[in-house]
Formats: sequence, C-alpha cells, structure tokens
Amino acid sequence: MIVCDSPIAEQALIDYWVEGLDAEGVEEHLVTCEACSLRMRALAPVMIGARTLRESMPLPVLTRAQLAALRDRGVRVTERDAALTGELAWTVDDSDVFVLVVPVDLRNVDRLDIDYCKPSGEVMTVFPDAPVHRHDTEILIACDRHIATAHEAIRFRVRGMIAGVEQVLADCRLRAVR
Amino acid sequence: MLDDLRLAGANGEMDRRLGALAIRIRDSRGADRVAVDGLCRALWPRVHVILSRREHDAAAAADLAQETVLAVVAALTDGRVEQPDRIAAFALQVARSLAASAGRTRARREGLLATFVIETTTLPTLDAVDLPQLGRCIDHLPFRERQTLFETFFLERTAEQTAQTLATTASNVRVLRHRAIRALRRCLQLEEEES
Repeated sequence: MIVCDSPIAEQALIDYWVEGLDAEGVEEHLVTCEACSLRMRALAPVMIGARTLRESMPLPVLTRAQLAALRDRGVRVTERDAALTGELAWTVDDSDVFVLVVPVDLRNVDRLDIDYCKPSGEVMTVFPDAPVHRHDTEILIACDRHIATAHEAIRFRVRGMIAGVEQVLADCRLRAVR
Repeated sequence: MLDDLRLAGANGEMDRRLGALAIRIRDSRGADRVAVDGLCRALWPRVHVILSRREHDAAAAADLAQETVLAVVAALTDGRVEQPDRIAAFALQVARSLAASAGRTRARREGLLATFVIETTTLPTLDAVDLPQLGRCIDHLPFRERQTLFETFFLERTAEQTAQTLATTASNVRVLRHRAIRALRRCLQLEEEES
C-alpha cells in the first residue's frame, strides 16, 4: 500500500478541484506523491460526472436567445405556456427539454428565486437569484427529460422580492407522462 | 498552508525514483527506452489528473498529458533539464504551460510522437461514472448537500455565494460539499461504507 507521510486532506483535494484553492501547492504535491495522486484520481470521477451532467443539461432558466441557441444546436425542445398555478403534462416523446413559459411581469421584481419542489411542496433545490431581466414578462424554466422522468412531478415555485416583500409569483407543476 | 503542502509534497522516495529515471534518459540521450517508458508511466497519472481538472474534455486531457510526458522526455534527451532530480516539478511546469497555451497544435504533438513512442492504451484513465445513477444519487442527498452541489456544479457559484443561500459560512459550504461527494461515492459504490 502506498502511503504519504503528510497526505492532503480529502476536503482540500475537493476544494482544489472545484475552486482551485491552493492550486499551486496541491499540484506540486500531487505530481510528486503517488498516494495523494491516487486519492485525487479516486475523487475526480464524481466531480467530472457532476460537471458532465451540467454540461449535458440546459441552464435551469433560459432567455429567449439561449432557447434559440439550444434549438440551433439541434436540441429538441417542447415549449408550453404555463398558467401561474396548475399542472402541465409533458408526454415525453422524442424531445430533450421541456420549457415552461411562465407569464410573470418582472418590472418590479428586485430578485427572483425558483424552488424546485416535490409535489408535496418539499423543496429539492433552490435556484437563488435567477438571472432575469426586469423588462421581461415571462420566465422560461427549462427541464431536462431525464430530470422530469425521474420524478413523479416537479413543482416550480417562483418567488419574487418586490419592494422588500417576498411574494409567490407562480406555483406550477410539470408531470412527465411516458 | 502552501509552504506546508510544498514540504509535505516532497515524497522523497518518489522523487528519487523519478530522478534516477530522468538521469538515465538524459545520459543515454533518450536511448534508454526502459527508462523512458518508466518515467512516462510514472508521470502520466499525476499529470493526467491535474489536467483533467482543467480540461473538460477527457480526450483533450489525455492528449495534453501525453504531450506533457513526451515533452519532458524530449527536454531530458536534449539536455534542457537543469535539475533532472526534480523532474516531477519540471513536468508540472510543462503541463501548466501546455494547458495555458492557446496555440497548441497537432503538429507539435505529432513531432514528439515521431521521436518517442508511448503506448497509451495501457495507461490508466479516470473511471467514468454512470450519469443517470449519479443523478439519482444526487436526488437522494439531504437538502443542504444537494443544494451545495447544485450551486457548485450546475450554477457554478462560489462557496461564498452558496453560503448566502444556506445562511451559513463558506467554510461550512466546503464541509457540506465534502460530505456530499463522499455520499455520492458511497451511493455509486466507489467507496466502502464507513463503519
């Protein structure tokens, strides 16, 4: 078994990989240390996998230009208008991405957060401070087919900060039907 | 911390082994093929993992790692390495320089390949994870760990930005991220269950 007298902590290896923390020192260690290099090689696949997942998916919130660029790249998109509340069914055929067009007037919204929830309302993840333009009157929420089909339904709760007060601007669901 | 890492990183035995191979290559002007092969195989995994962080394309990272080890051998052969006993540090500089070089060309790599041969099919690559399974494993993480990964990898936000979402500190976000990666490795059966 190969051992290192002063191994780099696992968290430091992850911090280096993700953020480049102490990159110079970590790399100088890795290139001379077989043990730590092996540990880095064992950790890397999960982080490369997460990076690959992200690169294979659309941004969670799109602009019209980004949506057009997706289509130009050959990504098959199903685009549907969503009511502010209620449910949309996506019969998953051969499209890759479902885009919910949520009609929200953003002129007075200072900050927008989107919660991705289970049907029960339990929050799975939050897209904090989603990048939208104040002159927009719609939000394009993109959902990859693999994400959609992995869940019974996904509930998107759009929260906006208006004049210092948080309001739920939309609360809609997407149900993928195979 | 950096100084500590640099000192700790001096894995003396490894440096001596690599240094001995480097000196053999330099003294034989590249004719000692056993030493060339040994050095390439020893440097490859270390250089490759560093370049895999920088290069998002796996094939590009492998090409760059190959180019790096071959450039190191070429430099030794040409007598351009002043401290062959510190060949690993030299290789790191070469790797960084090549990675930063926007104008790297196929011709440069082909020139090196015409001089030196390295059988890449037997070199270790990084394992690929099952992406759908990885997605399911992420879904099963507790909220704070999942949110940390979402912001880190999907939104490419800093630990400081993620800390604002979770009402915590950047240091704690790094702890959560570490915990999440460990949980994913267990979920993907890449790591033994902790007792």
